[in-house]
Amino acid sequence: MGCPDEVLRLVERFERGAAAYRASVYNETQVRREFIDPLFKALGWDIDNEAGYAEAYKDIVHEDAIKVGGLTKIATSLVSPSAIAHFSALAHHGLTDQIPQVISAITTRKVVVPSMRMAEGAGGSTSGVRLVSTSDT
Amino acid sequence: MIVPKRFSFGIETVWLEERFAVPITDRERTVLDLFAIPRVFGGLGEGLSVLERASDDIDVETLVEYAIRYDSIAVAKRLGWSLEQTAVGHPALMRLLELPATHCTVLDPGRVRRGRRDRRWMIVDNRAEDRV
Repeated sequence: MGCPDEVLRLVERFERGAAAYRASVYNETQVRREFIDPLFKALGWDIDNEAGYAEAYKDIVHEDAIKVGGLTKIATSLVSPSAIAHFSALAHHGLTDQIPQVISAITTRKVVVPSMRMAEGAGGSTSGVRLVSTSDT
Repeated sequence: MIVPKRFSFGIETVWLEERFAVPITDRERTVLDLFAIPRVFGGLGEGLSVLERASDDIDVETLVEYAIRYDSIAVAKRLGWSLEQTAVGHPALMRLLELPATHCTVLDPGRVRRGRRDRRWMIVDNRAEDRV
């Protein structure tokens, strides 16, 4: 599955105006309306509940607490093929008592997302989805 | 993490809800990653701890098969040495022991390369050394 054109447009748009979008005056509502909602729409999520599902069944609940299951969906929807791995998989298999704060995924595709560029050298992102690279061997 | 295609094995599907399933590394592949990329887990200590606590739940033969498929002598020797601490005598370990190694591998890549050498496994036990 290739990356949707709309996602590429969003990335290009963010890169063009990165300085403005990272400024403190660019608030949470703006980033949600201009980037986050369009991103999830491009990935096939029914952001506005256009299907008319009841509360319990609709894809998106705005301003609700993020659930691990939701993050897991996001992690595997961002890149394909991919698989949940590392601490997330350890926790799933009951091999650790730690509760992962981010969802880790592996992919065979070369991907670079804005948070990876910003976090270069800082050890990862705080977005809830972790993509890291290279091997220890 | 971006991995080469040859590393895309040991993946199973888990259903999160009736209409949504996600791929996830299976138990043995997850354990292999503890020894292939220990820095992601904060060092080798997590891998050794998992083997000590959950060795009965891990299919050693599958884990050894994955290690050979991973095609890294360093990872195979590191895993083999660690498995021997918890699964002594398992015949599958011989497959890892017999892999030819030309030089010693450090047990924890995140620590200084110094420590007691295990010539049998071609491993340098550097667990007590400082982090790099």
